[in-house]
Amino acid sequence: MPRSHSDDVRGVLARRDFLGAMAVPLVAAACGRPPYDPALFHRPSMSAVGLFPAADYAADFGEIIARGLRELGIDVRGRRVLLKPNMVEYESHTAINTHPLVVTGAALALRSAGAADVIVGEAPGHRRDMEYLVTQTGLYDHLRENRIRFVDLNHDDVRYVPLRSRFTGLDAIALPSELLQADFIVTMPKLKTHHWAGMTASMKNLFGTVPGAVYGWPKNILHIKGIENSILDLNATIRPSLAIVDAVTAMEGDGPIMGHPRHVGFIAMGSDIVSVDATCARIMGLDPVKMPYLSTAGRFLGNLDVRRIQQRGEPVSRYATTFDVPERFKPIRLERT
Amino acid sequence: MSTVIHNLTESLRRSQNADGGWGYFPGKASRLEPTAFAALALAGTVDGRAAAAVLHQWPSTDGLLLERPGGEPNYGFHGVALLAMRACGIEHRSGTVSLIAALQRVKGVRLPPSTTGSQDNTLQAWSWIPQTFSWVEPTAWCLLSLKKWAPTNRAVDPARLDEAERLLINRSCPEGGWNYGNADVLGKDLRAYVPTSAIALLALQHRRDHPVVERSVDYLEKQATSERSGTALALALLALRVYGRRDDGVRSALIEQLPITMALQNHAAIALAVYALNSEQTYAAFTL
Repeated sequence: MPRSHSDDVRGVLARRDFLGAMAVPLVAAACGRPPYDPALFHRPSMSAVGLFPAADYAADFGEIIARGLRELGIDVRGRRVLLKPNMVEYESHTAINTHPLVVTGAALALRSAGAADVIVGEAPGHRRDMEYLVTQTGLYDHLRENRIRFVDLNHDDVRYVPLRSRFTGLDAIALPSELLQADFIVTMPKLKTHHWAGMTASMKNLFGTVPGAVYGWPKNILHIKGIENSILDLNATIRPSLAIVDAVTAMEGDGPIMGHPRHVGFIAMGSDIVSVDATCARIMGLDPVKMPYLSTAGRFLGNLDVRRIQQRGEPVSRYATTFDVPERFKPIRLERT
Repeated sequence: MSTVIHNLTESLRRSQNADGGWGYFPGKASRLEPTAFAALALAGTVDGRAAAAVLHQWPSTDGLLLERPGGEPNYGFHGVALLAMRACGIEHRSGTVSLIAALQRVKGVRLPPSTTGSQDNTLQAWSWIPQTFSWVEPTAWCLLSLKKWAPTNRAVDPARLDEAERLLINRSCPEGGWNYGNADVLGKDLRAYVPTSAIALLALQHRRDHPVVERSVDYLEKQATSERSGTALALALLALRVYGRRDDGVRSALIEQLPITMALQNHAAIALAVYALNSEQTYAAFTL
């Protein structure tokens, strides 16, 4: 029988009292030896990240994402694709969730590119009433119209899988079977600031693959083990094949829920998730090297160094700006030259 | 209406697994929560008796029901299952006393005083899973189920009920109702959610003269139809019925929502809708 997560719980914290998130040391820094086997990971010599303009949500996202797939040379023929949007909470006139039209556009583009199956799955950390979220956000109507299947990852069957890195100290984690059956996972975040992690994009979005029926809401285990450690273990284990970031209208300030909408106007895409998030951080005016989980990920999961990132579509300079961030993250702002 | 109930009930019946339980979705393995709600919804029928028999046999460890066979305990769903067993008039094979005792042995953890919110972190009720913080929903399900068993079972500890009530009162939002966790964070008030508010109100129906409860019933009456889902509307309908408040709009909103509830096929949501819409129900399972 797999080791229960409860056996591993050494600390106890309420999510809202988790001000010490940044203080939970990354294991790599603490013990001097990386908590992963470098032989298991291949970091490409160069990674391509595409920035494609989308002035607003009236854009044709099927066409934009199809262009991204072509320009990035991504082949999905015959693949079973799972799209993982970021759906946290619904508040009208805010920018909390990945826009339903971006999700639908991605599904249609991937289908047209030859994917054998495309489904959408999410496991929100606050709300466990998935029907409410898909109805209220409008996602349900778009999925039904386009015959796209939705899976509630919080309540799916689960299987324990060994973690491919040990930042959290856990040996294994329960993951939804629909996620494990997919052979091409696309992380589709909304680009936002985050009051515990600095920013949330493609990597942090994987918190929403952890099943609440097993771990509870708001998935305390991930916070107890350290948000940064959990981001690294989840990404090392799940290894998404592609990131498609909704940065048409992003969120700044007190994200990921109570921040303010910030129009930026692009879709970011890339198969190196670390490079995509590093590029997004730079656009937000944050230095990815100063974000512990991103800089650690840059050592084994993907490329952080701008010299190893090949830009496609629009240049970073077209969108580069300075997002309003919580006070504690101001020290990680990028020093622009 | 009878056609609607009939279709919903048939959909639930058809999705029963060969082992007698229900997964959350068709073709998925049996889980405790949807099986418990299905047993509640089908109580009094042949299928309901079969579901109750499954609950009677449901695997447990140290008196705690497992969230899924081979899985771990989930205290919130343990509470839901105790509620369903009470409504179906059955005992667990290990003895309901042992289930009640085990539930009362476990507590959400106590934390240092909050630095980010106004809640009292010393209060301990129920978390979802072992060794984590107490949250509104598992606390409310456990409190309601223990209150249902209390009249016939001396194992129920009034001190645990009292502390759980105090925790719910402490976590209520300023405008009434409950978020899933806290009432505020980092100086900002959080808004209440319909399903958590409905469950908390069901658990606090003995305290209906408390200002927090009065405020929260008012909140629910105003906001019940603002969250469109089978689960939210069914729970709101049940809570408003129990408190004797107006519910016609909620009932019609639930009926209007059913095509989506049916299409998404979450058996726990379908079972709750069946129970809430069945005019033959007296809502006894949720009434103290």
